[in-house]
This record gives sequence, C-alpha cells and structure tokens, in this order.
Amino acid sequence: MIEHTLMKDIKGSILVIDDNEINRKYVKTVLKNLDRTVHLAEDGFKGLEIAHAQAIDLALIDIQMPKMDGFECHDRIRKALGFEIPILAITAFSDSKARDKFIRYGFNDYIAKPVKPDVLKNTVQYWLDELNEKASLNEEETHADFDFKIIEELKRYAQPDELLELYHEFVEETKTLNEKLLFLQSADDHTEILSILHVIKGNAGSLGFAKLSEVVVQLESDLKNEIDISLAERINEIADYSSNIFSDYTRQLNLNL
Amino acid sequence: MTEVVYKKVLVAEDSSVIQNLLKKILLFENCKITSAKNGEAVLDKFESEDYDLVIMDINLPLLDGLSATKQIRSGKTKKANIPIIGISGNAKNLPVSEFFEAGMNEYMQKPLDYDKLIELVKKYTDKH
Repeated sequence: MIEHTLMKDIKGSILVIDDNEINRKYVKTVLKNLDRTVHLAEDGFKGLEIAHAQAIDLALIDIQMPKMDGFECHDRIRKALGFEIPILAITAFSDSKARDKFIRYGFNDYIAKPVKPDVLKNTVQYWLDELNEKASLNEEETHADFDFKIIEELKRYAQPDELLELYHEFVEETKTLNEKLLFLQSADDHTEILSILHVIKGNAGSLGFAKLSEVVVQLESDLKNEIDISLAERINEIADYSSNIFSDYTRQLNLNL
Repeated sequence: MTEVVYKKVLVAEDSSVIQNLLKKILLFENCKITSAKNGEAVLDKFESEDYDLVIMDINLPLLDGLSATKQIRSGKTKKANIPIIGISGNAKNLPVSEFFEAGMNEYMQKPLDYDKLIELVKKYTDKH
C-alpha cells in the first residue's frame, strides 16, 4: 500500500522526439504548464537514450524523421517503456483514414499538424490521467460482477428511491434488448446487433455492472474484427448471465429501501 | 434568503438510461437538464434557447457528436463558445485528439467517473 501511494505521487516526465527544433520548442512551451519535465530529443537514438535513463510517463513521436522514422522509433521506445505508457504520434497526414493506421500500429493517439496548443495540451493531459487511473485500478479486482466504486458514487448523488428506479429501468431495458439479440442471433447483418451491444455496454458500465459490460465489449470487438465465433452461443451466454445477475442485484448492491 | 440559480445544461445522449442517470446526478449540482437524443435535436435545442453547458455523447443518431460540436463552434455569435464536455464509450476507437480538434473542452470515457463529471460541470458553470 505504501509503495502504491508513493508511485502515484512520483510524476515521470514527457519525452518529445522530433527532428525539427522549432517543433520541439513549441511542444515544450505548450506542455510546460502540465507540471512535468519535458525532455527533447532530435532523433530516435537520442530519444532511446533518454527513455532508458529517465522515468517517462508519456512519449510524443514525430512520424517523418530522417534517421529513424516514427514507426521504428515507436517500436523501440515501446520496448523501452512498456505497454502501459502512452505513445502519441505527431503527424502531417490529414485524412482520418491515413491517420487511423497509427492507432492500429500501436500508437495510443495522434496529434495532427499544424499542432493546435489546446488539442496538444488536452490530449496529453487525457492520457496522463488515464495512466494514473490505470495505476490505481491495477490494485483492484477487475473481474468482479460489480464495480462498487461507481455504485458508491451514484449513491452519493441520487436518492435511494431514484436510484432504485434507475436500476429498474436499466434492467427492464436490458431484458428487452437481450430478447432482441436472441431474435437477431442468426441474422447475417450485424449492424443492429452491434448497435444493441453498444447500448447495453454503455448502460451497464455506467451503473456499475462491470462484468456484463466486459462480456458485451468482448463480443462487440470480436464481431467488429470478424473473428469466427458462435454468435448464438455468445448471445445466449449474455442473456443467461444477465438474468442471473438481475435476479438478486438489489440485495447485492444494497439498494433495498 | 438566497434563491437557487439553476444552471442550464443540454444533454445529448441517445440512451434513456444514461439520460435519466445524468438528470439525477446533475440535479445535485442545481442543473436543469434539457435532453436531446440525436445530433439534429441537439442543434435545434441549442439554437432555440441559451444554455450554460453542453454534455455531448459522440455516438448519436442522425448527426454524430463530433459533427454537432463542429456546427456549434462554427456559429458566429457568442453562443458558439459554450463549454462542451464530450462523453463516449468510444466504440470506433477514435483518437482522443479528434474530440479536442472538433472543439470539445473536455472528454470523458464511459463508464463515467461521476465525481469527475461533477467537478467539470462546476468548473465550467461556476465562473459567472
């Protein structure tokens, strides 16, 4: 526990790898209010040296660089820093299809040139917060049926009777959606199934039904990636799991008046 | 005697469960919620009334939240600068920078951290 508290308090620094000196200085100026040290490197090799020597929380890598391009640089920096650390691309590619390939490649995000100060600052801040949250989540059990942190928060903001009504509404809606899924399970067109899964995922997550949200996310992503699965079986699993968890949630979540 | 001043918040979200949830939670912050369930309804409601804040889901029917945000920002009046908080389950795995590029002030991934949401609502509505 002590170690954990310490880890949360010690902030790492930001690594910027860009061959253009003006760009490097610009990024440093924009990020200086984030309360982190910003290390600048003019190529991938210098960047790697810094990555090995310093505690880095986030890396920004320019894509078009002469000595080592942004992709190779990503691979080596990723290896040095690990999968938890956000690595963002800075790129002049302007159409979003071309840019999507950065995400598929393994970058967590990208910043489009010309770099706008607000976009840069907000995006970097988002990923630093995300990293912080992950660090504290790792401590907790993630495969439980419920996320009690969310439920406790809700209890602070809503009256017990209101909350009960909300949960009731969610349960009824999810039952209806599950029936629709069971009806659609043999359909070839997955568009409607995906849109139903998306609704269940969002609702379940927001109300603290962590595992339900997780299994739905998994099916959603398998369907999108066209992984060969038994759809009917998976939908039945979700329906079974839901009806199981819905039979006793008011007691488990301590919602009874 | 102090009179309660309600903050007017436009919530764009197609799930009625999450709409109701946000209504309950934001009432806690003295917010009066107007709901819109698709991107076009958001723009209609935004035009016809003045709000203090917009909470915008990304994945909306008819017109998505990014396009709706860009439309609001392209306006020529002072209204175009309204604070917008983006929320999303990020089904399409969009880069977060795109939400900020579109003009959103903040972005939160679902499931929402309600404490943080309240904090942001305060931050953007307490100024005046």
